[in-house]
Amino acid sequence: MPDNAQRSYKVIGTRPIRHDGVDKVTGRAKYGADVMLTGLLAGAVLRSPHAHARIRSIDTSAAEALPGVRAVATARDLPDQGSRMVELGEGSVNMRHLSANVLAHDKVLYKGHAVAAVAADNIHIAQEALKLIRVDYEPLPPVMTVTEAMRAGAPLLNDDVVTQPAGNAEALAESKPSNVAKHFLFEKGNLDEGFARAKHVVEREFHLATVHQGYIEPHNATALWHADGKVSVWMSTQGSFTARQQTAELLRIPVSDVKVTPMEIGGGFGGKISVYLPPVAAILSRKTGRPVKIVMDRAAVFEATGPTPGGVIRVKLGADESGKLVAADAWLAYEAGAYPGSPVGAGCMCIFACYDIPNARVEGFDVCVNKPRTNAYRAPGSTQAAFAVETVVDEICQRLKLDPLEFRLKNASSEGTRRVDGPVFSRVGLVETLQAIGNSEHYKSPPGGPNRGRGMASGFWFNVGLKSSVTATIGCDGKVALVEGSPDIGGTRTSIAMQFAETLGIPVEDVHPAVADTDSVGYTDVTGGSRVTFSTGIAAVEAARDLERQLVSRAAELWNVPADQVCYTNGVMTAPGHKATFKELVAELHETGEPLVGRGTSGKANQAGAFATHLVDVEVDPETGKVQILRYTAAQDVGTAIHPSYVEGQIQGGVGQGIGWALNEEYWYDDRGSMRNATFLDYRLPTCYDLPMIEPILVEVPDPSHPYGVRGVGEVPICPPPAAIAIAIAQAAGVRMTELPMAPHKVMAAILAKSRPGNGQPH
Amino acid sequence: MAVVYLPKALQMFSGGNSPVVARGKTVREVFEDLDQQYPGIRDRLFAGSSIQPGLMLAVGSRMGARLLDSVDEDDEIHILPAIGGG
Repeated sequence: MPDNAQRSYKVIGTRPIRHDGVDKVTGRAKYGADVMLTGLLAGAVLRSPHAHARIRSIDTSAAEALPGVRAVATARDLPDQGSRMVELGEGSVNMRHLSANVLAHDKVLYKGHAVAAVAADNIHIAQEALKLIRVDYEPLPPVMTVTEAMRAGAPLLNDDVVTQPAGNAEALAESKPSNVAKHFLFEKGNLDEGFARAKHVVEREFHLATVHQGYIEPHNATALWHADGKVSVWMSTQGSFTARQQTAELLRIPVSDVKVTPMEIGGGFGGKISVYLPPVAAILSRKTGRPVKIVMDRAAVFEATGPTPGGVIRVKLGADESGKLVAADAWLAYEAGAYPGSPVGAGCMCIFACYDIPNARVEGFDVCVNKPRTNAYRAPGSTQAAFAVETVVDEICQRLKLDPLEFRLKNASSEGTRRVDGPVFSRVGLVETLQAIGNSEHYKSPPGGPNRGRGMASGFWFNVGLKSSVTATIGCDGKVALVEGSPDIGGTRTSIAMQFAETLGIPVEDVHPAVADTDSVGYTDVTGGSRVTFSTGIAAVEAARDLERQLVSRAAELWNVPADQVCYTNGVMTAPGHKATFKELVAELHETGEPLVGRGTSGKANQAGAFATHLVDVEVDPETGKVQILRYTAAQDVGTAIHPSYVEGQIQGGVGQGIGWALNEEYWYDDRGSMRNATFLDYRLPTCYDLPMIEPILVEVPDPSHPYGVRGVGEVPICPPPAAIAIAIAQAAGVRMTELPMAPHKVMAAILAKSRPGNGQPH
Repeated sequence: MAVVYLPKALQMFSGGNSPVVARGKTVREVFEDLDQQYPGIRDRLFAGSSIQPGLMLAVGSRMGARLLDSVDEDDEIHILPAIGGG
């Protein structure tokens, strides 16, 4: 594929107004909480006050007797799942665990774990009824950190979880129950020989807090169990088809009996893929014969949906005298939460991905703790890994007195580099992001001033392909109805429509994109993994090509010329003696034949991965430890920027969230395992007072597996910020931060510790 | 011959060797040949006619490969943990 500088597009690379923009800014767009149906009941969920307890009994009789209460549900209303694993689009899930997460079976495994649910005439009655449900708990000691959970004799969360090396099913029968669900090991080269060659070795341990994606819209679901046994669900979700399958599997009804309508979505970032509410609302609807809506409050979102994991990472790097990395060793333990499934495997695969290192070893552990089951957060598992490895890289640079940019260029992964987990990179743009930062005005302007420092860090995320479907119908006026199955989180209606318009040679304003329910469009995987503009884009291109073939064939009939003499270019059809624009032709075809409907699917292509390099200037207040971000530049390999504004928006959003993760965000637990900051007042997201204008630099290295070179952009921008900021703090205040978040009290403690004699600060 | 990189947990079948080579025009055929060479390895990789839950395949740099995907001479096949995205 040629570089984008050599290609000329009419639509791609422009910045049209998003198709859904007016409805969203005027408040007319419909979100899950807006759903209103005749006879709608309000649902509410009773949640565990304990982080770890056995359920002896649940008595719902008093709640059921309360006037206005229509039904009460517990796990007894959910079908038995056995011990089956089910593939749910973006990975397989243990259905027993998923079911127990929706409504606790015999144990509660985190504070906020759903125990029972009520449907009532209004939310006030439902909430009163919750107070009347009597649950007899046997409290058990909570296990809140990976270190505690991995200790011999630690209280056990799940008696059906054994340590499973990837691919070794026999281990299930051989092992004892454990809090460690999985153990990963990747090796490359000869680690001992590598470290023997190293002149400079740095080894550090990092501690990471649990953080939430912080999407503004809470989870919600409205369900109606129809008299014919079919179930309709309206909800906020990143994936209507996986939500449909999860709901069907949890209810043990045919998947085609469930229809999910994805409403507009107020953020997800990986946290709106697992289902929590739809099966509960469906059961309540089955019991009452009426639709039931449940909307979480903020505390429930924090305490009972999937945050991204905390944990511990150890990294050891060795470099030779010339500054070439020769050996790398990492140990990662991530919190899975209540049930297995942390992204530690991905963390292991990402941790050294930015570097071409001949000898390396990475070991990872997926560890159950008494916190909500963790979920993805943009590039799941990679941000934590980047924080650890990039901090050690900077310390190596400091020891060797090497410029961090030169060091990274010397060691950067590029096409042909073999990752520690095995695969070899195809065309990737890490070097180009480093060069872009080196050429930036920011890089050439020193931060200046006292207590100021600068940090640079890189990050990697795979991006995925998966499956998408699109249909396109040409109307008699030449406008196109483009129907897709990807919930639109970041402007993808428009980025998909633009690829369709580019391919068919028509204005993007003439394409009307719509996100359809699961009965109205072909199977489409989640809006996640930075895949929609890539994969649903390919489907849209295929749909446009399908229509082009139909148009050529029909024009040949209409003009009575051989089809091979008909040519369609840039929205104009020509043949010897004939010429018509797209709209002129469509008007004629509408009068003379069958409808023009195109279809496109994708699923075979996969992405080459994305890299980003960030540069940040900070100022550290030596009296309080508060870190102020002064300037931030983010260079990212974006493949081809279909709509540059949305690409920039993804980068700015990812950086903003990364800054929050770096400086303030964490779940505060007391000694009973209870989260004490489950509100946006106490869980401190960054605001406009904390963030400067984030300057994106779009580096376009086209991905050869996409017809226009698209590369996913939504995840990798969250990877570098914590590391870059930690490095900047080290330069500003002379303290190496090895714990997230780097909140003022922690930075202050590090500054004070440095000033004490015999301190052990690594700097 | 495709070159198959085995994770540690599967190297017990190959006498500790990785990578190993196997014939086949598709990923499925390669694994079937692998099972002929190292009996039992197929059961560790497959659940019925699908890849074991929690695993992901890569052919060359192409992550998320499927069993019917074609395999060229000298292609590398990697068996990796499944990843999800945000």
